Amino acid sequence: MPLIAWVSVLFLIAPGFLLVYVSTYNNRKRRHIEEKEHLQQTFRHELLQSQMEVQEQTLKTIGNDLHDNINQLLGLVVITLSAIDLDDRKKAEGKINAVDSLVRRSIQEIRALSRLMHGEELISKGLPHAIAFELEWLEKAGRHRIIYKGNLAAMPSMPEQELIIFRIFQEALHNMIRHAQATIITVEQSYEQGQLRLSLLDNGVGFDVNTALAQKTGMGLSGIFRRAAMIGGVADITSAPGQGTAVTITLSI
Amino acid sequence: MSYLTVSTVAEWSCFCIAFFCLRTDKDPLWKWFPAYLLIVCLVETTGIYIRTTWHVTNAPLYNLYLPIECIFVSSFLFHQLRNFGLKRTWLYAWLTLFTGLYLTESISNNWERYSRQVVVLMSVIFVLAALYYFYLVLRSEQYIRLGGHGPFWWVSGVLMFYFGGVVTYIFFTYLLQAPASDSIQYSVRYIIFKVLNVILYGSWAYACICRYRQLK
Repeated sequence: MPLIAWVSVLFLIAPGFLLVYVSTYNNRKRRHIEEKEHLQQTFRHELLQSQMEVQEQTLKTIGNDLHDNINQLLGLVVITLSAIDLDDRKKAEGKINAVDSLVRRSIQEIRALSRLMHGEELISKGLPHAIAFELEWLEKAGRHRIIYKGNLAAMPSMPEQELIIFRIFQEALHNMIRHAQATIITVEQSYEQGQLRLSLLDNGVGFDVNTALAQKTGMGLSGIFRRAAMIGGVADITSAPGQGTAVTITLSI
Repeated sequence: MSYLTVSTVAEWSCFCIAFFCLRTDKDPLWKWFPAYLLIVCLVETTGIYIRTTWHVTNAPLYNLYLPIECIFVSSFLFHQLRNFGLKRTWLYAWLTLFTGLYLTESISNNWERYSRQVVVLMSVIFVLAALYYFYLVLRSEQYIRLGGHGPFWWVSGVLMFYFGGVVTYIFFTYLLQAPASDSIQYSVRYIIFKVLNVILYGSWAYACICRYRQLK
């Protein structure tokens, strides 16, 4: 076959190479679209999961409150009522007044609980409101001293991200309540130059972060990192035995 | 006299496939595609008849067929590019330019020869349109499964046929000026054009099958 024919063949296969290129690029585009869809699906799943966990946490709080608070109050009401001697009108009057006071407190507690039951409404009013409400509830329990600094008034509304941030906050806060044996919990929040920063610090027993992450101790630490990364933010957990714990979430908006 | 050449077999096969696959198609250009292929087949067969029976050149016949080829292929390419936002003005401008150049060259040749200069220009325009189509496909956010996308294979056939055709034509015309064996060059060119015909009608036939599957 003469050289001329080989050169011709080379010219002819040039468009073939172009078609292969177009086809390869198109396949990459398909993979990119699939990956994007997968990420969106994962995000939606995580959002749903966060929503469920917030509800679950609310139910736990309600359960604990019913048991530790309202149950005790109503128990006292029963004991006081059973101890009333109708012949001794003076003492009976005092006990009835005590029962009246206990029942009123119970009603107040139940009202507060019903507010808590509307957990979704809590988040729909915004992250600052949800954080404030959660801390108010904790402070009312009287076991921790809460220090609350800063505000997020300038932060734009972004419901999906706020729900996930709130869930991270809730997870970190309840870790401090359950495991840290802390007496003071400090919450610092700020929104400056498009950057949200939310920190929780306690004066508890602390722990080795690397060991806890490696052992998967059920504190949900990996979930905190994963969820922060999913909304484009960064979570930082600093702790050491005996030196308290600091959890910081930063997010550029 | 044999009417069964590589080109005629490829063209008639493509016509039969197109006729079967596109008989119920609602899109005007796809619907008229078998009619265009029938014209191609008749021109090719008549060309052989004129050459072998009357022993005269069939170039005037192919020259008369040229506007039909240009109008149909241009319209089809425009139809695909229009989906990406190309304005109709481009099609009218190109067809006006083609008409002017075609009439000029044909009249200067007394309608006896094939308008080669116009064919080269037409091929270049078709190659550019096909490349632009690929560029738009790549740039598009939407994913298209190219393996079963009729328009993609239709345009691919156009690109390979006209690119190969124009490059071979220019390349051989240049080399023919050098001292070499004409017989070898002509035979090679003949084979290349046969191969290009098979690629073109093969791609078009597959495009019709894709279209049929898509509408089924």
